Amino acid sequence: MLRLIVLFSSLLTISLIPLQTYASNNGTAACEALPEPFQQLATMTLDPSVENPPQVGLCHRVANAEKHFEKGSDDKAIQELNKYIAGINQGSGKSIEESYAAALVSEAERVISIITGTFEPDTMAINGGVFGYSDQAPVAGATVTVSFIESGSSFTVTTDSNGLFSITDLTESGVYVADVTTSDGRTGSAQGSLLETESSSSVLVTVDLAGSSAIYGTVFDSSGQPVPGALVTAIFPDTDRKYSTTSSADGSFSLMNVHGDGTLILVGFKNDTGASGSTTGVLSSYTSQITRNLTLKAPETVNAELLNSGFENGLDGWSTEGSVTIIDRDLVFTTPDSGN
Amino acid sequence: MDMTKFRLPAISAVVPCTALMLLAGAQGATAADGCPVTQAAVVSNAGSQSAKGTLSQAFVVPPAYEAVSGRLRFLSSEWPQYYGTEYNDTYLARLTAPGKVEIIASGNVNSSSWSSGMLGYNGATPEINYNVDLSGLVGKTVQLAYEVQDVGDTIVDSALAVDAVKILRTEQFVPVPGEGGALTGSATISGSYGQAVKLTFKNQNILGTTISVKDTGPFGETKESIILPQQSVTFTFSSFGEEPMGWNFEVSTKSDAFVVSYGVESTWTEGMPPNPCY
Repeated sequence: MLRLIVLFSSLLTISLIPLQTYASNNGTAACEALPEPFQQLATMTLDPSVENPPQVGLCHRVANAEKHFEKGSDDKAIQELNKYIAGINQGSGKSIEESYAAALVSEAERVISIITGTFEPDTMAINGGVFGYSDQAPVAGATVTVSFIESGSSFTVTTDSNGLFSITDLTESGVYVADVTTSDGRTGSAQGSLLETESSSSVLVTVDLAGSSAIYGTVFDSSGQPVPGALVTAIFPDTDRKYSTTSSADGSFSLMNVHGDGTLILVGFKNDTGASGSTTGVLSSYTSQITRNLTLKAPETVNAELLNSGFENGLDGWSTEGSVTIIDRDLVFTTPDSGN
Repeated sequence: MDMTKFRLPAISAVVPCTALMLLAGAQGATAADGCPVTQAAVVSNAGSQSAKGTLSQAFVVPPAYEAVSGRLRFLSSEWPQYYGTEYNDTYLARLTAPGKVEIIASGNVNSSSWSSGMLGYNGATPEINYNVDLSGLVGKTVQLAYEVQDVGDTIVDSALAVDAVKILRTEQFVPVPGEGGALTGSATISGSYGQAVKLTFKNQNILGTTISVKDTGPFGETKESIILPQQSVTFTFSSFGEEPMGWNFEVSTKSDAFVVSYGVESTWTEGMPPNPCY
């Protein structure tokens, strides 16, 4: 009898372990931090717009689909996603607001199309304009080369009579650099971002005659390794001039023919990770060349959403370097705008 | 409840003595009845080995996050003595995510206009409003970072004051009845709206055009874009104050041909009760 009691207790304990785990993470841990192409669908499913039930069940459908997909069982992954869609349709207008349910179905169908290989991405466009630095006048006939920093793929167009250009039918997204040269020898560059969720991106480039200064350096990651294909942008606040380029295979970069407009802020960025870094320097009449290296850091802690946005809990959720203090906002921001 | 516990978290590093004295007076923060009590952070390069002060947060963008907005103020003791020299501290606010980098605000001592100081610093700039679109970043990890860096010396300090970061959600915006129409050249759009306003412009011409929209308020932003024929662009502006508040936007173009239609959405419209929280 004693053995039976011990056995029963053991079985009960073992069976309670997953139950406790399930309870502790509210049942949705299974679909947190899923890889692409399931990430977006999982995030949308966890939104409070989806009541529970059916939220936990739907979450497990996505997680199961991901597991099947990972194992190469595409059919089973699609089956799970079809059951997910059926669940959404069942809850539409009841536990899930109708328009949000439609968005969930659309995203699930997108994932299915990726799995079946029938996904056709919407094409995107980069629209831009080229203007003179001094007169702000549109520059017609300028040659514009747009290069995505991660893939290196580039597209060259010419501005129209209004100084505008458009690169259409793009299926690639990410951060890009627009380099411009004009027939009268002016040059300029600017950075832009084209997100895969957007149909277009807009970039304005100002062009000017060549300056006599240069900035050199190397981009490193936080472990000290050189970073190729990183965006490097120099900002001169005194004159609002900006220059952008991409680091080479060995992580080095050079920004030539820039105007030595005093203090500069140098920003580095890696497209695939979002890692970034910055440094400062000075280019003046005394110093026409400088070398500044950049170290890119990815965030060490990622919150589930923006936390403590009003600093009501001090610096909880925020990362700091150097001196950061919390004060009564009215001491600094004394003018609650009463309108214009 | 003793609110001072929540109002004055531990000071993380060295700050000027005068600033500490002022911080002691920070306990009297007020907020309108029923409004959340929020505070501000001050990022300084004082005492930093790297000559840099940074405040940052990385987070996953939830669905329905439309934008984040806020206010900054650059403070420096390099003004007025070192104004015009290369002893010229800088500030930078940026948003980064895989596939996106946006410089929210940047500047230095020389590029700023100055008034008398606060928190122990010699000078303070006007407030700098910013607004960052997050609508295309749902599910992605973004990082919001505010920095102050020394340039040329590490002796004279500067700081960046960062006001509470406001989250704007899609469901907060409603169309403003009776607002909207067509523009064929430079024009003004004005009215009583909420703390955040979305202006959507559609190019009705057969030619592409540039468009620039300036919030003419004291700390207003200017936003620019290119719109191809039959395409649209949306600009979001935000301000800190009680709703409703007066807004005035100047719309202009660098292009010869300009025919656009526009609509206005806001977080407050006629018929809604006033909102004293900001």
